[in-house]
Amino acid sequence: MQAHENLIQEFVVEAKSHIDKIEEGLLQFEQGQADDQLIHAIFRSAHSIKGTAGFFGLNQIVALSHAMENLLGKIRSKELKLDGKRIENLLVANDYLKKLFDHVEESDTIDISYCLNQLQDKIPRREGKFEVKEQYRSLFQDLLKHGRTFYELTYSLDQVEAEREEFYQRITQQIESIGSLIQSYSRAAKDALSTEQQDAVFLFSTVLEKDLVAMAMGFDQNQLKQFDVRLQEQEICQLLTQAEQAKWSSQASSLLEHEEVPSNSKQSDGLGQEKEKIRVDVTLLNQLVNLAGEMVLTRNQLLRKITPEIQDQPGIRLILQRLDQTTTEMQEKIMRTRMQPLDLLFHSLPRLVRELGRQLDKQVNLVLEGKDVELDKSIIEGLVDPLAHLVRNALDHGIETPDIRKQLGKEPIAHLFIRAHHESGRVIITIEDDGAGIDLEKIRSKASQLGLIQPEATVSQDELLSFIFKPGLTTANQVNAVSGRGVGLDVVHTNIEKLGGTVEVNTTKNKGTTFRLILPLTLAIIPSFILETAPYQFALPQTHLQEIVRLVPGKNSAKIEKIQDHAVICLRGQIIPLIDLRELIGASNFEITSNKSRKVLILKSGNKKFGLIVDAIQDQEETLVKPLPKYLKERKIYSGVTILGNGKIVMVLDADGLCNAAKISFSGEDQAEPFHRARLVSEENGLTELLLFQCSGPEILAVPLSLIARVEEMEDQQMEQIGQASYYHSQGQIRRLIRPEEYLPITKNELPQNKKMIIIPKNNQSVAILAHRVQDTQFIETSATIQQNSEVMTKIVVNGKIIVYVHLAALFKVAALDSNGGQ
Amino acid sequence: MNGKILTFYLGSGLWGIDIKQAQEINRNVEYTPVPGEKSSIVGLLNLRGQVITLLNLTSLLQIHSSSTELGRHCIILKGTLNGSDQIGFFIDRLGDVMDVTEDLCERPPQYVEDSEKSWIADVVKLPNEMLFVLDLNHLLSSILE
Repeated sequence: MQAHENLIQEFVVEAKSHIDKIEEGLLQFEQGQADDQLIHAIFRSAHSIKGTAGFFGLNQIVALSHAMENLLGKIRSKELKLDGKRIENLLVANDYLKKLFDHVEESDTIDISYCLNQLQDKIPRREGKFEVKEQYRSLFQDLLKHGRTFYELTYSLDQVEAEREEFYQRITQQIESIGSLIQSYSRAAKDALSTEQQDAVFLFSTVLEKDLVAMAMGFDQNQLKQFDVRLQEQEICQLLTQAEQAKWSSQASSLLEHEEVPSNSKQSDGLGQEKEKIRVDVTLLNQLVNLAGEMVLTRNQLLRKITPEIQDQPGIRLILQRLDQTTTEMQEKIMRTRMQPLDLLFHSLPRLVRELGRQLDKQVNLVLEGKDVELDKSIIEGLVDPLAHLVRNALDHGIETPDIRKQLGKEPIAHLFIRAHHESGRVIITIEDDGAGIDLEKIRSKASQLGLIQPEATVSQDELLSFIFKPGLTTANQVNAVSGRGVGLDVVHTNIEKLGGTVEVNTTKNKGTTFRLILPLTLAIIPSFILETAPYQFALPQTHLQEIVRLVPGKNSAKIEKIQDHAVICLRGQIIPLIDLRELIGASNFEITSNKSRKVLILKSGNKKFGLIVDAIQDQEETLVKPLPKYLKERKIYSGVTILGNGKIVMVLDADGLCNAAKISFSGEDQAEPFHRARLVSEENGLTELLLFQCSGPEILAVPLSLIARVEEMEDQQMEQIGQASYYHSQGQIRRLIRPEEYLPITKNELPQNKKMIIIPKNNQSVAILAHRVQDTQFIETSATIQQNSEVMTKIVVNGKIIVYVHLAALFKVAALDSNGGQ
Repeated sequence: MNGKILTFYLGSGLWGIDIKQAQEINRNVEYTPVPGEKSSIVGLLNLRGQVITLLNLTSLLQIHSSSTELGRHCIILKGTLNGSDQIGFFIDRLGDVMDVTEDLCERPPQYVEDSEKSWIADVVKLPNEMLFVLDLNHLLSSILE
């Protein structure tokens, strides 16, 4: 029997693939991409299912696929046209077929009569007596025989406090005690103002009169509708059919939510040749992945231990290289086994869009791109929900009805564009719609209502957009079955973050909205930096890292500012808030050598950019991130733990968590504003900023900071001597180095042997000033003495000390004369 | 309760746990302190590739222990206790493995504060001292709050 089971399983897999093709084909037909080839293909699929099912004796499946095949055959021979109604019937039948295959063992017991009737396409009688449908005839006979009346009970689920299941059971019991239940289902309420807005409908029969029924069940009489079995046959049949349909459509939409992601499937690679595949247990694959990870770590450990020793051993180096190479490749390939094409995610979307479009009366054209892009299986699984949510949102809130679109001058058919592509080691999924865009004003008022922001506060676009991810925030006035409860985007955000990715959103009013999901390629092994903030070590995944800035005390102090008591750094005109890791973890009592440089890592999480100050960056490692033990879950700054190559455990930092812990709020483009304003203010107030530096003597020299492009450090080797002059090469420019002490009456000593500072002016490409130390910047009052002057220098007093103010233009002129003269 | 109890000294008292819940006892373990964490967690331990959370039992049980962590034994509990997150804790000294039967056990005395009471499953009167048998499930779930 084992062999038989295997055969059936294989058949199920194959049949499901046919079912998918049928669905795809039908949807394509609906989109207007009809052609004969398509009909043939769909027909063939139905036919194969029927054939093989017959071989296994799966009678119901044979019956259903036979009915489908018949209808398709008539369409193929142009006897019947494939119109919307028929497509609908075929799709429903296809869903039934899927269900039959899901329970293939019991498939013979499942009732498919409704479907068969639909497919048989009976021409409705135009006049005469209303014929009760066959399937209901026995029901009617029974009702008449016992003199029962037919009732419809509608109950708003809004008022149900207990669990749905219990509620249904209770009502069923009550009904059964006074009569018999025929059908029960739930449907969307007529008015959608209530939050749950679902109605439960019970169809039952009983001998009791209406008022007695109401009394017996404790309901109000207007929740009950009475139908005479003899006189109102048509209505009763309608109700029964509605009930059937409702049952099936709710199952169809739940089908879309529970997409199974099979571990393997047959794919034809374009040439029609099927690539050979093997079904592998996913647990086994996971174990393999773990082992590969452990192997990588052990190899790292080995390399670390051995490298100092191998200098003298001949041939070992080669072997270790081979080991290194093989391990890396093996790990990569094992990771690849878990990679699956995004198509698995995408292929349920056309159906979802279609169903939602019909529900909401909107016309949407869905364009999918990049279904061959591969992602780790668990990431794909984790994307099912978020993607469904985003599509729902786009259709419900973003895209307008065709009428409104026409009014706005847009095409009545909206576009939903979902695209996946690789970019710098990540997979980016873009969901773009050309709908109404996100209404920032509404968000602002909702956020203000919820107390998230002050009503008068200026909030940037980025920050407003980040609010849409907060749970409980919705701008929908009515909640409907599709979306609007205020939890969808929070789920999206949390799920994507859990996978190690980020979400970005961009919107333009009336033009549309774009969501970008940025995901790592693999889950387990993430390249990270190992940081040190003594005495602790941490790991930080590179996903959120943008750049690293080095802070040398004294030199870059101009770059760190304090705005409203928060430390920030000014990087290329942008203000970025800083977080000191030491303060965050509460380790400030540890001694820091204050003259050591510290590093700032600029991280970006979603739309937030910030800098993290650490003591040092030690290494780069591929780390196998393990989940955080649940006892540590409180502190949100950690996203997991990892074991380094040397066996040590370090905590893995989480960019988002760091942000939240430091309680930084972001304000997007406004960040640059205050800084520039400060600059302007100072200039308007008649203040000039000076750069103070020293050359080989003790005198302090000054130049206006506004004339300086940048200051660089230079090693001895970077200076080159050509003839009498020294030259410095930087960023593609060769500059002649000018020592002020040669042109000014100040002390001239030997050049220092160690690092020198090069001051590079803005307006002159050919020279630079060679200084010993750069001290500081200082504001002084703009006065006549420091206006441009033909003198090379002027002595001024700043803070009680005499400073030699250098007029750059004059200095450079003199220096130029000197060099020319020297030649 | 009936069964074997693994006993150990912590602070001034003798404590015990059901031996079926213990996986191993280690010594001289090198662990990583977790910065900025509440005092109930001492740190994390790498046990042959598994990450073990080391609990600070002294602070949890509110007893005073004078010895430092170096060279101390630590008991690692089995992973089945609470899903996949294994825990362990340091002890001062190991005791014996004792056979305990119902008739030797008593409920904790009235004057023991309520919070502590829930962690002590039984009290066993031994010839020279009192043995407090810990209810690990209670203890662990209270940490998670």
